[in-house]
Amino acid sequence: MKKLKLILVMMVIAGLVAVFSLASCKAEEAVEEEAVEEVKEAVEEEAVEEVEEKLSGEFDYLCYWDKGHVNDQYIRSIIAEFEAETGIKVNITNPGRDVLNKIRPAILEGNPPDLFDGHGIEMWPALIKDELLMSTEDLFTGPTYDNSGTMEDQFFEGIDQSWAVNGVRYFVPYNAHTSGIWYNKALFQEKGFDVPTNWDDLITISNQLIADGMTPFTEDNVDFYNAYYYYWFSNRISGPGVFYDAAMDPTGEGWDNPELLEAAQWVEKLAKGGYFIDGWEGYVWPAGQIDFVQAKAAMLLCGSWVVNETFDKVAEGFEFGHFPFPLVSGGKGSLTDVEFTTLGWGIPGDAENSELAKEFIRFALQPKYQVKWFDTYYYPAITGLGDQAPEDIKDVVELMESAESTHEMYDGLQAEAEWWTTVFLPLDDKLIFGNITAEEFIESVKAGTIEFHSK
Amino acid sequence: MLVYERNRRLVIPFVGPALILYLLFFIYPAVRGLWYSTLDWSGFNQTPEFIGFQNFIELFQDQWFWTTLYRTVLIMVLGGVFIFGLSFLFVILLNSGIRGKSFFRTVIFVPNVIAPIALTTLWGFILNYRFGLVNGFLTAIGLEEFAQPWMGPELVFWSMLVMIIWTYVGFYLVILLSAIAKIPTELYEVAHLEGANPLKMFTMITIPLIWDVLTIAIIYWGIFSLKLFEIIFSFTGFIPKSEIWTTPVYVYILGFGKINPIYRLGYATAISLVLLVIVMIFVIVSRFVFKRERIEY
Repeated sequence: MKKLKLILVMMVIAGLVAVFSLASCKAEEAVEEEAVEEVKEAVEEEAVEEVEEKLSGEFDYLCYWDKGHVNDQYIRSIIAEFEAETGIKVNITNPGRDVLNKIRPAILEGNPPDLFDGHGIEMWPALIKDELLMSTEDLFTGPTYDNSGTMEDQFFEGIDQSWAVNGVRYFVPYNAHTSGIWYNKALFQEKGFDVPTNWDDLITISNQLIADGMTPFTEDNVDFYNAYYYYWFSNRISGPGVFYDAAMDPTGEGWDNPELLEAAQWVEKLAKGGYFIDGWEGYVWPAGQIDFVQAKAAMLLCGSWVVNETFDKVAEGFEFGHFPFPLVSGGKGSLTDVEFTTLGWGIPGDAENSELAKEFIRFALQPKYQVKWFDTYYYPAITGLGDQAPEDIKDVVELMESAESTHEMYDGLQAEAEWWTTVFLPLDDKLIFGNITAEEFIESVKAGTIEFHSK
Repeated sequence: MLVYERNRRLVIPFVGPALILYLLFFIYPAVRGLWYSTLDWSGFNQTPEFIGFQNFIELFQDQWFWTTLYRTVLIMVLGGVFIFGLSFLFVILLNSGIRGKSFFRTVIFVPNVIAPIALTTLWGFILNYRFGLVNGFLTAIGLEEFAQPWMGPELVFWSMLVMIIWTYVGFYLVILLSAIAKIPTELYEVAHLEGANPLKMFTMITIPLIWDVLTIAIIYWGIFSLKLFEIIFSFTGFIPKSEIWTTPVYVYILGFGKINPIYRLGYATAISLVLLVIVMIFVIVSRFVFKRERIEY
């Protein structure tokens, strides 16, 4: 026992010595790094000028999509044509959805890839917020690959600015998504239902479905899918941004807004009104989506990627339809204020072959490649291609093209990941499962918000 | 040269490489972890901010830390009680002279050789509300009213605990079977002749004579359950529901995350260190509590 104690004490002392040694090393390193940065910037400017003359070589690309995934196949097909046309080799590897966890050690070692892709929401807290990526302003303000216009003019309204920091853009979208209510078009036509634009009409339709022995809604029971309801109700009642402001208000007073309570009351009404499929609170993804395309429920509130994930599982006679989350009477929301969330590329700040990566981005954003996203039932980030969208997703593309203003999914709160994950989502699940009332929800989320910001 | 000295010189080249690897891949990261736990750091920024013990102060006030720790300990205690209880029950059944003892032992052990992801997928089907085995069975025997959303928020933790027990009971069964097999049968015969009932034989012969093995098994289960991760993380699909977050899962969500990544590597490391200390305390206390006079036979 004595021996063990002695060993433990020695380990603790060794640890403390190591910690303090590392601390002093890190302090010295910081001073050195600043000097190195200045020299690097000067060298980089020179390198860019040289590279602009003739682009050749190869660069490393870490891809968000698993190897063999339809989206990976799409990207690889573009890479093949890029390599054939430019002679620039692309070394693509597929860490999949863990791409940022793979990039982290690479960046720390000073050996980052030259290009990677993923969700803007995930890139924001990791790399964009602290401006650890390379600025892509030159890319956005520069010409398109075929010199027919300026890069930034191609995109859906505002999505190029999604993840800008102090007006500087670091993230280049290649894919846009939105969310709304998917519905069984064939069923609606059979029943003679018009596509509703407000919740009063949608409740009427839902009640009719229940009376006919059918289920209005199904869901996958993924916590951030469940959160669509509250977020969209808050958007339609109080307009975009109010939800975000309340979440980020350290005093919690933002939650005293009666409109946010009204949004919770709508969710409670749906939860306790029998509008969801029986047993859905025990679902594991993709059970809800499968229910929907197997016509076990009439509607599904989800992202625009649903067709990509279920097109090969639909029941006979099923037809995809989509309409925007309806308005609430008296609310401040607008159907032409469209939600966008984006997938796209980022270039690490220390990437050695950034110009080659940017050339690839210019190449891949050509309309002839962007339109191919439709083959995978995904959506291009640039406008003007809607007439080529397949029938199953035409409704979504029309919605995107109709946007007069845009906002980020969940008001951008998913990027405030700690509040979102530890305060909001658990309470939202309780609300949508009918385990707490709207008032209890607001009270708890307010208290949680105050406690969160007091840390 | 004394035999003792010669043996010691032989030991060093054999133990040395393993010791070096252990130092490199365990001790060094653990010590480095001490440094990371004093940082406010996402893990991406090369200039993290030193904040001293702020992470440790925060975690002791963190409601999620205590909630997840409670669930972790619950898995350890309840899981342990049922795993060892069932293991002993199976030992008794398998040693009762039934035919196919090897077959049954293998069947009970099989979940330990299957990847956790495959097991959680299987249980996802078993517990499915609509077409799962459990609700299907209940409906078939006329107990439809007992069919539940077993993966729903109220039951998901307990469903997961059942799966954990089912998975790991085989491992401890094999250990206990081996230990009990070494006990001379004459002891039981004599006890029987002396009029001892099965319970007395179990408590006065079996348990004392396998005490060393049982102690190690319990300590192993304690350490294992305190850091159990993959089977919990994958139980509810690609995102673990907050109702089943345990401390290791919470650490992952804070430090790495998926879909909603938080990237607080410094804070996550602090929690990991606290968990390490808890494991060490558990081992030390267990060794003290379970210490017995050595019995040789």
